[in-house]
Amino acid sequence: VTQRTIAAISRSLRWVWPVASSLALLCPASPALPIEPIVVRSEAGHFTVRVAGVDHPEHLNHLHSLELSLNVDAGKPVSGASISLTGQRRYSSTPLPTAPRVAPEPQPGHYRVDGVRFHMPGEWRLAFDIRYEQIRDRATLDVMVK
Amino acid sequence: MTTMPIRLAASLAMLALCAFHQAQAQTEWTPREREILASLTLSSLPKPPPDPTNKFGDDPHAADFGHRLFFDTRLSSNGKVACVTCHLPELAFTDGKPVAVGVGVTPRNAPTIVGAAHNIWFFWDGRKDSQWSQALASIENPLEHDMPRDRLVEVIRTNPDLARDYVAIFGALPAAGDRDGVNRAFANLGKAIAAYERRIMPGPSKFDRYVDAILANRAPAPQDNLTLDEKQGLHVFISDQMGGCIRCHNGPLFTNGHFHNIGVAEPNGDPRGVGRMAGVEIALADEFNCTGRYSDARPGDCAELTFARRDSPELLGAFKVPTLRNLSKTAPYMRVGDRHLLEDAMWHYRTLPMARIGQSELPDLTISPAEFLELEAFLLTLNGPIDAPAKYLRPPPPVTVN
Repeated sequence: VTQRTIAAISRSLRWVWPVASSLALLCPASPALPIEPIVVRSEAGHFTVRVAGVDHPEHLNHLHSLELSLNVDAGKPVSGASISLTGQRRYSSTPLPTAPRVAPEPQPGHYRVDGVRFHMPGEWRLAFDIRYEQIRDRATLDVMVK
Repeated sequence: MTTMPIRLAASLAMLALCAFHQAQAQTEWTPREREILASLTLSSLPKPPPDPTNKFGDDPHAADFGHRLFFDTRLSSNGKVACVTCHLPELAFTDGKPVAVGVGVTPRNAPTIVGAAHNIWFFWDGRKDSQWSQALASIENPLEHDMPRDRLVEVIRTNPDLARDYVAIFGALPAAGDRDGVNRAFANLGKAIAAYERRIMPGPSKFDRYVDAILANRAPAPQDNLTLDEKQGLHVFISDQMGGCIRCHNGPLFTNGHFHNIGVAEPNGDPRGVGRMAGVEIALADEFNCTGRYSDARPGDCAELTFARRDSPELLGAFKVPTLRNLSKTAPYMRVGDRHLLEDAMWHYRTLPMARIGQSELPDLTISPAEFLELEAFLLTLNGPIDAPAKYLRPPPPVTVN
């Protein structure tokens, strides 16, 4: 009888999650990382970083590459910076399953990050750690992976 | 005379019923849920990509030879063990045992090979990066085939039926004592087995047929329509807030192919419980990996090895996520095969045991007892046939050599 009661209560509460999910849709969400660039400013304000997906980086379980353009605020490209990328699924401790690498600059101020893979759907935070001369700064980008 | 209005009314009623079913199919799942369903159906699974490490991977003659090798007990030290010993076609290429038993008793449950051509990593800890190099490790493992490579090549050489097929596909066998030649012949045998295994794919299940109908905005056939419990279970499965199963069991094979620590205890504190932490190092050092001299890959083909994550805390105690297809045939469950019933395996996710090695990633599930049962009902809709040439699901016919 207890199990049946629990089951009945459970069934009657099924509307809770659909309603909650619908309400969540009204809240601002992270963008899917598009092929077109997104511009983010670093935390300490030293750099602007244009991030673009080479293919469709929001897709699950594929290796992706990202293109970065690094500029100081005045718009001047930053050449010779050291950049590393880490990623973590938001609201959990799960990191990216791969170790992305930044390729040598194909042209000044432009960088390419290879080996990005998302293996779980949901919201991910990418962190670009930037070292340039004596400056250390970080730019973050939240992306929705479907 | 009176039958005409009746027929007309019946036709209109049928049309209305069809329209109702179509409307129901469109409204039962939200647009986002339909996207998720589309990502899970087998219809979205492409053909396995060519394996750049195995130029014989799509060679039908190599596949036929691999089929024969797969079933051949001469490839073991005691003459009783073949690949098929632990990968039985009638059990979705598993063996029904808690742990695989070859020449000895292994510490691991035999995973299915169905759909494995889509895997990136092989073995529970991902210590191999191709199907063919996985086969090689099983052949040499003293607990599986227990057949060192030089003895294996001798078996091929001294059995005319095997030697004939080998030479026809790969060319001359190496001379005895030619270490590099033996390694290459060993690799070739693995590549033939992989050419066979690549053709073993999952066939459509009730779930796939249901989703395909829903996405086509038509009513599923009665036998394909999920029950209320199965639909609710599917909701739980894909909901990130409820079951969250889809976080790791995603894509049409219901696995992300990566490694997670879920707190499954290793019997007797076996040090192999370190899982992916050690597995990735073994894969990188393997002479038969993608970048090795016996691989057919070109520079740039080995991105998975290049970008493999190493030496990171979450890899400790992490093991590969298995597919959830054909669960009714693949018991017992978990890598140590200690869960004989699906309900037992699912119960693990509710009890949230502490990991003995590393840290468990499992979140607290917010599902009720009823939803737990519905989830189980849904999982059983993922049973389906094996999609492979019929001849590959049977032992090969005997071969005579003149």
